[in-house]
Amino acid sequence: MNELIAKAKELGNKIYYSIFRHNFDNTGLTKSKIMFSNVLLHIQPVKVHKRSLKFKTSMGLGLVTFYLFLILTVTGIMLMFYYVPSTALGSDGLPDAYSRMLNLRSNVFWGGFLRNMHRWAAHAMVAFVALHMLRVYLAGAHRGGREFNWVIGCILGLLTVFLSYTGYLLPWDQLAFWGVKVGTEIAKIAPGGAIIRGILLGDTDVGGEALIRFYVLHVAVLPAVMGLLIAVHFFRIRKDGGLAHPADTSNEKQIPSEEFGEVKNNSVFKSARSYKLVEIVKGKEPKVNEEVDQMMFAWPKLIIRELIVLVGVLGVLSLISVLFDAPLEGPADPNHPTNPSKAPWYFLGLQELVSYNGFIGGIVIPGILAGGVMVAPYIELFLETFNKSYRKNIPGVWFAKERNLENAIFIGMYIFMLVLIIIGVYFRGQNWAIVYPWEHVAGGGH
Amino acid sequence: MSNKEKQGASRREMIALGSAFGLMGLAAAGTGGALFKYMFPVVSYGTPQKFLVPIVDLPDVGDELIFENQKVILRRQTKTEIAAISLVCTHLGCTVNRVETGFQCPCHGSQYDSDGLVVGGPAPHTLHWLSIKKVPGNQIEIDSSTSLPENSFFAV
Repeated sequence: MNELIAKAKELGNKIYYSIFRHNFDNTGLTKSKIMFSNVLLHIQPVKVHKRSLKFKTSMGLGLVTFYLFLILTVTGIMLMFYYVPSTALGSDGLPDAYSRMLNLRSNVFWGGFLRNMHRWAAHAMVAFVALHMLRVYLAGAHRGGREFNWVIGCILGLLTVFLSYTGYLLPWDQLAFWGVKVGTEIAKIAPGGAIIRGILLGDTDVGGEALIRFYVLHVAVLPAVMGLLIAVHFFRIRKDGGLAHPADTSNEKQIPSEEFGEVKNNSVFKSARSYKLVEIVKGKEPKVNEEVDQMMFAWPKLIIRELIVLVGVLGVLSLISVLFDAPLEGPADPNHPTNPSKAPWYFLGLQELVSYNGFIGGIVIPGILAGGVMVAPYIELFLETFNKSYRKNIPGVWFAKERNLENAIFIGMYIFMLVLIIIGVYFRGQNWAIVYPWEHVAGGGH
Repeated sequence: MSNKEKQGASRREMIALGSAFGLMGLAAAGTGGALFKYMFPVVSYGTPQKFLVPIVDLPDVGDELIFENQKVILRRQTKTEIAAISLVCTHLGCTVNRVETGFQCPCHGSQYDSDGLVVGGPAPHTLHWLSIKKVPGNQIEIDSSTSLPENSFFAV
């Protein structure tokens, strides 16, 4: 009998180690193995700087954005089980795509909740991309060898907006139709825009072909590109040595381990990176300075913090999705725009701009802003190279004094967009006339 | 001698590499071009741009008739003069509403007078006046893809 139990235990062990290959004890070796033997965890290093775990370093904004992308992927795939990208009129006289929305809301168990979650997560993702970008810039984390990753981040931000844009055509309601109608008309003003518009719409006007094209872009092309670029974005952060840190850390205060609760560390190399001798990617010698003492194992402190953020995001999003229904206007009517006809909030700044002038507001200003932001670190590099007195390469420092001007410009740009959005959301009524918010009428702007 | 040989080798390499990349480039360009053309359908199944109206259905003198699906307003100036004005805003393509003072766009607040001239808002130019043709069978054909200047009247 005992022998049998021993054999069973042995078999159990064999099965366990065939899957996990490590225990869960507190030795440094195990903590390392947990991180690098798991394909999902190994994008993160075995040891991270304590600074990276502190809230004020990153505020978790990029992480929240990534979680929202995951949530959007999952809820989006669930919605695909019911959605049909067709404008053909069904027996109820409604376009198929639109009646599928009604169906989802009334006849599908959990359908409304999943749609709410998808919509609100999309809105949140746009907001968090913006906040993440603001954080990175104000902390100077776009410098110090990370200039190209900033460009990739900007492309990811544009992809996020374009995913939202292609996504909100799909319900084929009034908001969808007129949003796309106006958006593609703006594209037509740009040089060469007529060709892009033709590729997007597949027809001379917004219609069934446009719906299929936006659908394919939304569910296949853009998410695939986005997933790939996210991998590049993360990989480069990892190869650049984790979150941006100040160039000179010799005067930095030691962060006591107690700040992160009880840290169990039985490693023989208490203070060193365990892979220091075999993986010197940068520089000529392993790190031996004060930085090394500030490293701690990613397992479990970092992983638990990340999971807490995930639970928080899921919790808040679920609550919002239960309390607030995703907007759905009347079915698309190509002959009657709603009055007023407003885009979602993140486009209302743009809509406010084009209401003054189509070309300047729709192409020139957004182009200068997006292009300027994207090449911002390279402008700084250029100035640094040709003007020795210009020293703005101060990565990983919040509101560095030397960067006051740059930060002010960046914040100013955000305030500019925010004011335009607020005007667009609250102060525009019928026929796009200025109204007071309390006279606010329904019609778009979700 | 050896130097010459080396040069020959590098030249051979260059030619090999060049032709390899050249061929791949050609293939890529061809595929790209074909895909580009693939994205543009040859036939459009959208709303037709020309439509017919029987002359007996024309409005009375001084009256107007709105064709919602075609986004066109038909106006009879005199017994023999008619005109068609597009209801597509020249700013960003929304459909304008007929109001007492003229036309108004709900999307970005463009305002036109009743002849389609811009009186306010971001619209860059006058609403398009459309060409009208008399066709056999006592009908007129309105072409909504045309853009004529204001006061382009046609004889019935």
